[in-house]
Order: sequence, then structure tokens, then C-alpha cells
Amino acid sequence: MVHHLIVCEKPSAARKVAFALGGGKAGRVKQGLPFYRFSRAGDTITVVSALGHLYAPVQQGSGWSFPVFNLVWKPVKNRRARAFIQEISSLAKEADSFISACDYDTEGSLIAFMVLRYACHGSDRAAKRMKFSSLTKSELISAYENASKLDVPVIMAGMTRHEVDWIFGVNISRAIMDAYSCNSGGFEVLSAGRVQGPTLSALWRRERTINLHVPDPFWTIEADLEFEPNGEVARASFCENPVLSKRRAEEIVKRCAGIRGTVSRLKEKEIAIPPPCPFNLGDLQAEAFRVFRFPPLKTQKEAERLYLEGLISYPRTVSQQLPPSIGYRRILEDLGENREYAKEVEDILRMAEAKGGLRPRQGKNTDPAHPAIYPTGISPGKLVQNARKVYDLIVRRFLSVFGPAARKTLVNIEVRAGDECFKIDGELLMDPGWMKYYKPYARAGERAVPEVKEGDGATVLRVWKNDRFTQPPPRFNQSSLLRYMERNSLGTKGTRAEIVSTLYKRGYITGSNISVTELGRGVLMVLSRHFPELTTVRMSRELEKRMEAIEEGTEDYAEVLLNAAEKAKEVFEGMVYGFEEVGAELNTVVQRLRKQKSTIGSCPHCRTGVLEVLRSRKTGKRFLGCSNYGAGCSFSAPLPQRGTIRTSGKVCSSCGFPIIAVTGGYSKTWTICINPECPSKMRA
Amino acid sequence: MDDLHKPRMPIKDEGMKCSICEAESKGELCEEHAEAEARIRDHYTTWHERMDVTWEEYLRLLEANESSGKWIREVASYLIYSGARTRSP
Repeated sequence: MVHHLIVCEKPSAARKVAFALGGGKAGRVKQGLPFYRFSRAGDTITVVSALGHLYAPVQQGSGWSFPVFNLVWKPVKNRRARAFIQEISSLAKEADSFISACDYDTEGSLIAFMVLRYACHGSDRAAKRMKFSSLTKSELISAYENASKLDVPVIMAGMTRHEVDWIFGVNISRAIMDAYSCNSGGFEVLSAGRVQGPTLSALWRRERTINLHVPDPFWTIEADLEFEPNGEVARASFCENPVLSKRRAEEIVKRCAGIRGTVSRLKEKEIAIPPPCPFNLGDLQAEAFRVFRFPPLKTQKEAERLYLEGLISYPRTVSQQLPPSIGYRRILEDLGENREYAKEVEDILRMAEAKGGLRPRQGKNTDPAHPAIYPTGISPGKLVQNARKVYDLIVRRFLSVFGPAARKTLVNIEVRAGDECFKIDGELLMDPGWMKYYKPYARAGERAVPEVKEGDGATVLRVWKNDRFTQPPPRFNQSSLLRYMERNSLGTKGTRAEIVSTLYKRGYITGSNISVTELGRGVLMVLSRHFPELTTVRMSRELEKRMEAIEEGTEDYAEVLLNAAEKAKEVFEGMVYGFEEVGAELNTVVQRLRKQKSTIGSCPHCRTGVLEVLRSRKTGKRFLGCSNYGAGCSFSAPLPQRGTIRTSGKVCSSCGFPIIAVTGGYSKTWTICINPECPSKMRA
Repeated sequence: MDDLHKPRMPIKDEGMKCSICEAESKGELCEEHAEAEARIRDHYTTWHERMDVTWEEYLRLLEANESSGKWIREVASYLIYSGARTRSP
């Protein structure tokens, strides 16, 4: 009889594993750690859980200096995590075989390895690995019965990533914070890293292009045409759009008003639109952003929750392929039990019988560890609204990949009147194909056209010109930024959304259509002047490639780490010479930002000064004062003493004084005119 | 050597500030606003050919256009109100 200890990544995953292997036995809790113990085929099994990463790289020894390269893996500073480690450690003493059942990816492998090595007294050497893509009973039993050796190259790749990120992240953040506090005497949380830098740089390049955009004018000409004999009216556009001269556009409008022409050409072309590819994480995040406006991190969290519930397969995948081994028919039949999808499933299975099998559309991307995201078929029961939305999107995408191609007819009508030519482009959906399974998320994009034939007459009822200007490139949103990071190998599928979220948290970027803040710009300027390597994708891309090579077993962990440390050393050597300069630059940025934050608007009294939030030396209370106080403007106004004050950007409609927004204090954000004698405040 | 041909002290440009954003600059405008000005001057030919507008009209249209970049609008407004520089390029 053997006693196995199975290590899972999260408590919810441990529950699923225990229920699958132990047949639904209830769990026990020891010092806050839920663990499950049961017998299986004469063996005793204990299932324990980590809390994500229980160990992290930290500096060996104490002190705040840079550059620092001597790191060790230690328990994270979290009371609950430490209690978990203690309990796992005591349970490990009773076990004689160890199995990793963390998520089958780099992070999961590393989490289990650290627990096995440090909490389970060096048991990583003889430990085994359960490999699975979904938390369904059948897959977990099969993974347990076929557990193989630990995936050492994957673990080494994960360790390298963490250690390289630590070397760059900790040192650069310390360097810029130190430089700032030496110059200003103050403290500000500033950070930069191997992936943050190039991402911020890409955002800034886009911001710069938008800020420097000079719109050039051009004109488009449109007309309402009335067709004979049935009198149908349709909107047409001038064939030579865009027109690059205002005078010419006006002449064309004048010339075309009221003229009569004929349909000179009617062209129809049928096209097939193939079904979409199965979702990988990036595609799911992009689609959830398009359909629900969910930020990528939110989608990822909802998808991970669905995975832990056993409703979908592992979501952190880049694969766009669904292998037959997942059992298409079984999943479809299980989904068919749900009334919501029953009709679609019935339709797909009937069609498959006629065609001789189920063949999903496969994408190009593959992932050696996991297939594309698919529903497991388990009934979801009650889900919270957002999780329900993501689940429905995944199920409908899964159904649509089995659908036939949609068919569209593209119609092109050309009307000639003397030398002038107008055209109408239309799209008609002939057969929705897969789109009927992907409702309501599919975009049919139909554009109606009049029913005409060649030679039919047409009269221009109304013709006009539209003034247009060339547009700057669109700002990045969270979804397009993730796509950019993916294209440029910045970060991994699991870390990208987190990095974008950190940029928001640090105050470097803002808004859903992302713009770079003054602080973000300032930090980036400092980075590009003193650590230029950290603002280009080249270094990060190179490192990612080498880490992938470690995963494949073609590169050595120590070599890559030493190389990264060498690179980091070069960067920091340059930093030593510019230390004071970096501090001064950051100080200027932070000062400017603070001034901007404390400025409410222009002074309503002298009109030339600005109103600033000041504090009385006598009472310590805050009030608004004019920056021209020294020049003779004595305007001041009282302020609420609680909450954060910022400008609302509006002026009072009654007295013209600025309106401030106050957040926190007694209630949520509220606005108030700064004028104590404002007529709007007087009682009727 | 007469006074006229004596070497002169170079003009100190340390500590100069951009007339628009008060950032440190090597000239009247900082790097970004100087680039915006260059672009405004470059695009004037296109606008003149297409719309037959004067330099001042062009600047006013740029200042009011929502598609104009932030720095372009700031420089256009600066060029309008600093009268001496409203001459066409």
C-alpha cells in the first residue's frame, strides 16, 4: 500500500481532483488548508492545494541597493500561504509518493515543483506529473493512471522567466525610485521591467503619431438615385471617390444634380465565409472585448473560473486546434442536454451524419500542452452574469466551428450618366451557415441593393459632397494592445493582461482607448535615455525565444540566466553615470504632475492666474488660492476638508466659477461650485 | 580685428523653456512642438492646393479640427496668437 500526495494549484482544483479520484468524498480542513484523503485501488491518496505561487524569488540577505543578482526562492509574504506551506509540509511526512496535478503549463509546473522541493522536503526528484487539459472526471482519472515524470525543461523555463524578470524588474524599479528619492527627498512608487518598457514604448509611439497628426482634407460625393421602372431609391457613391480638390468636388455636384443615366453594369459574385477558428486565449479576449467590452484580464479571470468549475478546458492556450481525442460527439451530445443549445446541436449532428463525420474548422496556431478552448459539456447550473456570458460565447464558438461556410453574394451596380459614374455596393447573405450557431455574436454585415437590371434608367434625385479629413491611427484598446504584445512576443499568454493592468495601476496609462499619462511619458523618456534596451522589443523577444528553447530542451537554464544577468549589468553600468540626471528628470515629471493635479482651473477674479489647492499655515485646513497672490490677487475659496479634490473640467452655469469633483469623504463622487456665494446655492 | 569680425559668445540655450508647454527646450519650442510646427508647415501646400486657403485660415481650420493632433492644435493656436509668425511658409 502506497500513500500518494497530490499537489494542486488552487483549492477549487484540488476539490475537483479529489472528487474525480475519490468518488465524491468530502474534504477536511487543517489549519485553514483544505485537504482530501481517500483510498483508491488499495492506495491512500491525499490531495492538497497551493494558493497559486507559494514561493517567489527574493533578494538573498537584506538591504536596498542595486544592481542585485543574488536571489533565492522563499515563501511569499502572505500569512495564509505560509500556513498552507506548513500544513503541506506536515502532510508530506506521511506520504511516500508525490504527484503534481497543477495546471499543465509553465506556471503550473513551477508552482508544483517549488512545493515539492521546499515544502515536501526535496521530493521533486521522484515526483510524477498528471497531464490534463480539463478538470473532467474521465480526463483526471486518465491523467492519474498515466502520470509521467516531471516536465523538467518546462519547470526550468518557468524558473528562468521569473528570475530574469526579477533581475530586470527589481533592479530597474529600485534604480529609478532611488534616483527619484535622492533628488527629491520624497518617495514615489515607480516601476519598469522587461515587458512593461517595450509595451509603454509602443503606446507612446502611437500617442505621438496621434498628437502629431495633421488632417488633410478630401471629399467624397454621394447621391440618391431613383431607379426605373419601380421607383426604388438607393444611395450611391461617386466612382472616383475620394476627390482631392474642393473646387472639383463642387463642380461635380453642380454637374450631376438632376441628370439621368442608365445601369451600365450589374455584377454579382458569390463568396463563401468559412467558420471561425476555435478560441485560444488571445482570440477569446479579443472577441469578449468586441462583444461585451470586457477587459482582457476580466475575460481571463472568468475563463479561469469556468475552467476550475470544470465547464471549459484549460484557457491559457495559444492553440486554435481541436483534436478528435477530446470527443466531439460526446461534448456535443452533453451540450444538447441544455435546452439553450439543443436545436443547434441536433442540427450539427444531423449534418454530420449526412457528411460522414464531425470535422471542425482548425486554425493555424498549435500548443504542445493544450488544445484550443472548448466546453466540457458539463451542465453549468447557475452562473453569475459575466461568467455566463463568457461561457455562452465559448459554447457558441465551439458549435460554430462545426458549421458549414456561410454564403454571401456581393453585388456591384454601376450607373453611368454621360461622363459621370456612380456605384452601389451591396452584400446579401444567401445562407447563414455557421452564423446561425454563433448568434447573436456573428456579424452578417448585410447591405441591401435595389432590384435592377442592366439598361434600367436612373435619375439623380439629390447629390452632395461630404467634407472629410484623413484620420490618425486609432488608439490601442486593451484588446488590440494584447494582440500587439502577442505579435511581438512580449510576455506570455498568461502574463500579458497582468502587465497591462500594472501599467494602469501605476498611472502610466489611462482610459479604455488607451492614452499615455504625463507620468508614463516621463518614466518612458527616462528609460529611453538611460536604458534604451528596455524600450525596444528586441531584447525581450530574444529572451522569450531562449526561454522557449529551454522548454524544448535545446538551451541550458544557467547559460540563459547568466547571459541575462550580463545584459542587465551592462544596462546598470550605464545607469550609474546618469543617476543624478535620472533623478532630476523624474523629479521634474512628478512635480509637474502634482502641480497639474492640484490645479483646479483659471482664477475667476484676475483671469490670468490659476487656482491651486493650498493649506493654511495657521489652521492646516485646505483652501483654493490664486497663483497670482504675490502679484496682488487675493482670491481664495473654502474647500471641503475630506475626500480627494480634482477639477471636473466644467464651469458653473450660474456664476461661471470652476466646479470641483470631490471623491471619498462622506459619499461617492460629488461636484460643487467653488463660489460660496453662488446663486445656485441660495435657497429660494 | 574689428568689432564686427570678433568671435562672439555663443547664445546660451541652457534653461530655455518651450513657449507652449514650458518643458525644457533647445529653442523657442520643445522637440515635440517643434516637430508639430514642421509638420504644419509641410502640410500647408496640400491644404492650399486642395482648398485654396490662406496661411491664417489654414491655422484656424487646424485649430478647430477634431482630427488634428493635440500638439498640432496647440502649435496652430500659438502661431495664430504670436502675430509675427503667422506669415505663410
